[in-house]
Amino acid sequence: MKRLNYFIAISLTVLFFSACESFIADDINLDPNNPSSVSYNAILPSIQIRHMDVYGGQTSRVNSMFSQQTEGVARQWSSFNDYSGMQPTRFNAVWNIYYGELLVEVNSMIADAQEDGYNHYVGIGQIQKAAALLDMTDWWGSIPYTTAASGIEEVNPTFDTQESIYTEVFNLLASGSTNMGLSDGGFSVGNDDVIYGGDTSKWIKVANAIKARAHLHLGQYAEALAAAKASLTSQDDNMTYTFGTTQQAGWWRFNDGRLGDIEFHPHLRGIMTGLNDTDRLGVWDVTFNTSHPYLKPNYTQAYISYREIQFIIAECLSRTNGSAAEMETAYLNGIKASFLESGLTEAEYDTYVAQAAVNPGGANLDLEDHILTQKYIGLFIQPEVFNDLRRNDFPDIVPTSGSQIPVRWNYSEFEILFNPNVPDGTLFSPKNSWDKN
Amino acid sequence: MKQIYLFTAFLLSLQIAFAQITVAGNVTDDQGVPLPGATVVEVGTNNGTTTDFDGNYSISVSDDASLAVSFVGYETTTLAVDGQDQLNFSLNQSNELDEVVVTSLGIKREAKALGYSIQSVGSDDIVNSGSNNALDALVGKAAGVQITRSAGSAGGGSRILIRGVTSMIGNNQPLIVIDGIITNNETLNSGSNTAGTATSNRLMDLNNEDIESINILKGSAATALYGTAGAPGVIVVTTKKGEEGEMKVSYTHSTGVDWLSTLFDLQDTYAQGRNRSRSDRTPYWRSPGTGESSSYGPALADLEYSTDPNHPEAPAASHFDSDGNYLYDKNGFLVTRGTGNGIPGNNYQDNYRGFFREAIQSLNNLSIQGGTEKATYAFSTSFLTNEGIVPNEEYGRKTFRLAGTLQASDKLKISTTFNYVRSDYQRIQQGSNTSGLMLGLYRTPVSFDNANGFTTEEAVDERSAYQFANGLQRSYRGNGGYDNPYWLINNGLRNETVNRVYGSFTADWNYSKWLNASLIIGADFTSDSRKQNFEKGSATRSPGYVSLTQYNSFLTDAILNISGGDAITDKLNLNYLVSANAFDRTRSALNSNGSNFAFLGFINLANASNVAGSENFLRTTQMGFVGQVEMDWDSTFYLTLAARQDYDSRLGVPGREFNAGDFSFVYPAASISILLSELLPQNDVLSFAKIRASWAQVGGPPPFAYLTTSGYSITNVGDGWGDSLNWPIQGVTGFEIDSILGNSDLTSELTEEIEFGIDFRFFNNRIGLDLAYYERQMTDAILNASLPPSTGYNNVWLNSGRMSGRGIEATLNLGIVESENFSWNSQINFTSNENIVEELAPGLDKLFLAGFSSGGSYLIAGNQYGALVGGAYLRSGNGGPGDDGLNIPDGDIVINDNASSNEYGFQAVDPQQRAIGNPNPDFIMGWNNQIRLGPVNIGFLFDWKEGGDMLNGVGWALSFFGRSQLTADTRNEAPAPIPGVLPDGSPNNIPVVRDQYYYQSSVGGFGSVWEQFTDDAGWIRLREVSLGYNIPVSSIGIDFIDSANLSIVGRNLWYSTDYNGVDPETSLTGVGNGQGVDYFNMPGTRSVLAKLKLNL
Repeated sequence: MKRLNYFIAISLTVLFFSACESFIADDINLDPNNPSSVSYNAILPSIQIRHMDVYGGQTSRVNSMFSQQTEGVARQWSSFNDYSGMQPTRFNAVWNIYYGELLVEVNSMIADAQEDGYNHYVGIGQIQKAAALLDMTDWWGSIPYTTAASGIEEVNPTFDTQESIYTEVFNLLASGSTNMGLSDGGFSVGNDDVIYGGDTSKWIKVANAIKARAHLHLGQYAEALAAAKASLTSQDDNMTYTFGTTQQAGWWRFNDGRLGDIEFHPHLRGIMTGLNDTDRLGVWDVTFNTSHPYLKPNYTQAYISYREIQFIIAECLSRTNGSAAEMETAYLNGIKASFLESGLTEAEYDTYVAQAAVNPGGANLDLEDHILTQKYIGLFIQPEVFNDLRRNDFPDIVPTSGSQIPVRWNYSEFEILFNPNVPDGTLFSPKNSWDKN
Repeated sequence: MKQIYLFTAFLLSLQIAFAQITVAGNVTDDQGVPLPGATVVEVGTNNGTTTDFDGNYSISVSDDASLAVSFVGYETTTLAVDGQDQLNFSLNQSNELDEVVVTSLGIKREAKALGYSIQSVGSDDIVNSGSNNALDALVGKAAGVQITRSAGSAGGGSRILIRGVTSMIGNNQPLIVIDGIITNNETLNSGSNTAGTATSNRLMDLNNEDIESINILKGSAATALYGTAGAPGVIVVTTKKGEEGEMKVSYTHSTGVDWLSTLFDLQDTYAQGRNRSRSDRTPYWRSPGTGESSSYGPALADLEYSTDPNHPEAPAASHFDSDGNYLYDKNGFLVTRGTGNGIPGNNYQDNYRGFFREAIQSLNNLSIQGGTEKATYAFSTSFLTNEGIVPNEEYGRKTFRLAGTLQASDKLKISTTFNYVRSDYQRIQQGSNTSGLMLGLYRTPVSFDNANGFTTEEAVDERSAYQFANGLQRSYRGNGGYDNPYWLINNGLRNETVNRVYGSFTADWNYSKWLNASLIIGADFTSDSRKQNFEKGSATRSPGYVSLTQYNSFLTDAILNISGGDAITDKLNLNYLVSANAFDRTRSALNSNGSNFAFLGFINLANASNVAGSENFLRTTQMGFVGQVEMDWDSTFYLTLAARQDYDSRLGVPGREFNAGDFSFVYPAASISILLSELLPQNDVLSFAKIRASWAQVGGPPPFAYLTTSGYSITNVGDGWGDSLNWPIQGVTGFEIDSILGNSDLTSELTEEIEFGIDFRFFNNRIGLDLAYYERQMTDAILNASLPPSTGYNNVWLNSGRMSGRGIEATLNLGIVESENFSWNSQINFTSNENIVEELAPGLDKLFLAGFSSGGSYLIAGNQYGALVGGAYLRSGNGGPGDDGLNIPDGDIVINDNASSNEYGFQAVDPQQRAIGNPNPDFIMGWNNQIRLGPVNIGFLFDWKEGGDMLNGVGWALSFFGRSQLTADTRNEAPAPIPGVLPDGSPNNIPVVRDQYYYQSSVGGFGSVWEQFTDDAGWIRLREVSLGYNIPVSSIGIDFIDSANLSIVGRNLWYSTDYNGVDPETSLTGVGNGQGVDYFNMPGTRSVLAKLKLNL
């Protein structure tokens, strides 16, 4: 009997003591699943892969569809194709990614690295951030920036004009380049930089490449040309990330889960067929599925590439009446890079450009018929085609419904709901500040 | 195992016979009506028995004994045996009920003393319900309780709400207490809230036959002693622990069949295909090989087969095998009538009707119980197998239970329970996922045969029905889109195994009237192992995928009660209770998954070329200290005062110095009860009358652990249009900052409730009415307040919400007929509850709960909880003075008059989403009847749910595909204007046809507008009907059986609803807070089972 009493008394003591103990311990309610801080090699890959994935994923699908390189043909994507389904709610995911999964992280990484004096992490962070901001302002126009990404310190961020975002992009690219030119401050960037493996010279080149793209948008062709020439000099310099056969690229994953929703667009097919572009058509114009020869699981996603730079050089030379020979070289380099990037051979490229319709010789290169046409083809499914389309109003595109093609993306439904500062806007207005046509 | 046998043998050996003579007789009420179940005890001993169904008893006693007979609601009567072998008892009804109920913390109290509402449901009502889930068995049997079964899947769980909700986004499922111990009733989702497989609630592990009673503690005053854990209400389950007396063996067997309740109204007129174009709306057939998703093709009657690959309408060569045979149909492809072989196109309606099976369920239960003065024991085991109506869907459960009590000394009583349960599930993908069964099944055109010429039974096991020779899936969309249902049930199964052990130890020490102590310690361990299979070629995971998840949940609970009480004066009685308790819950989850199988036929991590894993651990701890004083004056006026101080780990901030005040909060409760009938002269009309009132405050903890801080988590790389990537990605790992901000200032939620009630009984308790009215104010509700995403975060945890609630509950008991051979007892339970979201957070008037972003269940300021929100038609009052931006504004529907738009003449779309429905019923009512006609028992229960809307996602999607009957009905109508006005206010005069292009627009399927697909989902249904017969075993010469009962129970045999779809008792989002979304969920079932119960 006594023993039982002892047993009960001891059980009670143990139980209550262990419960009390958990209250007094200072790790009470400490989350074992989510660390309160992480190191550079865990956040830099996140920023880079996240950006490449959104750029080569939803951004690529929407922009190539608006630009009629691809066509939404089934389920939700058929309503996106005629613009009716592209309601603000459809932009929630991309908007969230840019702010919640890129800006906050890149700001935090830059701040930490500045404090630690790790200049290369600062520099890479600034260049990545410039790229993200350039995307955002090009898709949406005015965006929250100066008061954004600061949590509950500012719960209704205000919208900055596109002009001021461009200024910030140029500033970030400049200080990013400067920082990449400094010492690493005692901690070098390695394989956690999944784009360039810490190669500072390539980062400086790509800062110029992004700068060239931005100046081109603004119609500043001389500046664009200068920056382009100081940037990527070969395909090896491309700002790319190659996805894996098991951790696949965005288009492959889309075709896996949403088979048949998007296909190659007859509009692009028409242009390419007219130029006997059968080799590239053979790689691209294939039913979109998981065995598509171009939209491979291990697709190499470019943010900005040598071929785009070459087309920028050609366009700027054309617009500024520059050297015809230089223009022709850049034009042909761009086409060649596109062929090689699609897994085709130099011989196939040679045959193609031997056609007068493709290359009538430097002096006869027409801005639209040749340079912009080949850029439109050569940047197949690159989101940049939508910028070119709006900038040049070229190629001619028949709206899939109504009388207008979209000139921007809608703001996110969640932003509209919870931030009273969101300006009015639809797919069809207002135009970007640089969209003069 | 051996030990269990030995222990059982030991318990059985406690049986010792004392008998000298056998006394038999009959127990009736004062009208001569037999009283079954009355307790007959030899006075001064623990020897006793109960009367059988006809009120007869038989007991062996010493010849100088006295027998005391007691029965609830009657005065106990004692008679001396005096050597007689026949002794009949006639009991007088007592004027007041000395009914004792189990309340909070296992405390037994007299029902009449309670100032709040508690309702009991007895064992028979649960066992005879025809359901294996104790929650389902409660439907219609208690007021204030709403129970929703989430799907018709075998092993699918149910959601229960008591008096609506108390928390905005936290747990609203009541606490389940079994024998005084907090017990696991978790539901762990498999997939997102809109996809995956059916889920169980863990109370399903309890064998209904083991339940003695279920008490429902409804209001805050009733649950206050449980503190935060009891805020959503408490269900107190008491199990059978054996009674003094001879060993009783009871065996139950039941066999039943479940079948499909209702299917969606699908058209079977038009074939796969579409209109040629907007300008040429001629429908034409398209081969499955084209991947065509729609059924807007020509009428089957206008088509016939052809097998000639050179036919001008023949599909592409890739749709034929090397021998020139058409791959998708053994009969050939379809061509315009008159140009083929003359054999008309088949209508494969069995695609959807014949796919389901008559599912067999069987239950065997054995229980043994008995005991002596010193010890009682109860042992039971049960084996349940339950097929689903979908082939290969299975549920099985084995339970073992051992319980006993021991009077260790005259002051100390010990009781224990031990349970082991094993549950096995084989589940099918459902809901919004490309492998969802109903999604692929319903969308299949009527011209395509999923079974490829085999019968539906054959196709289940016939690979060539659902797979091509090259291993690719054979489906109506080439080999993509969705899974062929026959492929899915062989290659996309989820297997789950739950092993669970739970039990309790209780010691009651009665030292004196003023000092009693009881200790209850319980533990509940659940291991839940899950394996999801997706063979290579699945629509969702084409390279193949396997996911293994192991959940371990461990709950421990300890309660120490010290209590006492006695008369202070001859009128005043006083009782006190002091209690301390601690409750700890942990859950770990480990997942390993692999994808990209090397080869077909081996769904295993070893066959995966990419393997990843993850882990997760949750822990919460609560402690509470309770004080309660109960006083009564002359057994007429009762007053109870209580307070509880709670500590909850979820309020802790890591790293912050310990300060008890940070965790603790004190909640008071007070209740009074007045027995009016004691104040009135005795009369024949009013036999009992009580009025009661109570007031209480009770807290709610943060809904989850770890909300007081924010951290980093693995980056989600995906955009919602394909699978996300798994880290590490090619050798690197990636973290991002959580999108939800933690808040170190969180405090507990608070519910304040006031309740009034009456309990009146008339004509010797033949009529009883229990009414309750309550009002609740819920403040400091914790929610994940939305932030504009440009802040870098989507949400922040805030104590900012405010809700109100009110409701009426009524229970009417009617003894319609009571005579010796015929009785009819009826109970009506009425529930009406309303929860209004008063305020969310500054600047926030809308918060997503569950469903889809285009249409789902939300919290909307000023609306009822869980309002349905989706796209709406534009109204002429849009933006006008009456437009609050949340609800549908006044005015007529505006028609799109833009002639260049593809939606010219259709309803225009409101750019804002609106509240378009309320999923909460206006009221629910159950009418339960028990009729006894000699040896025959008849029971029936009607269940009426009035109102409550549902987003009919099936109708929405199937209109897009042209599969719903609606689309077949309207596509051939003459062009006519849609009711509404043009933007200038004039009546609409634009004639349109509601054909493919209408249903594939913004106002049709997959469009943003859900208005035409929001339906009233109320019902009246015959929930239960039963017919039982007491086999007169003694009269047919069987003496080893004491009694035998044969019954037939039907469940959900009939219902009536306005809902335009399937059985509206469905919830895509399962037991979660968001309700009212129907999207390719598993259809409901009807069932009949036959049951034999033998008492030996």
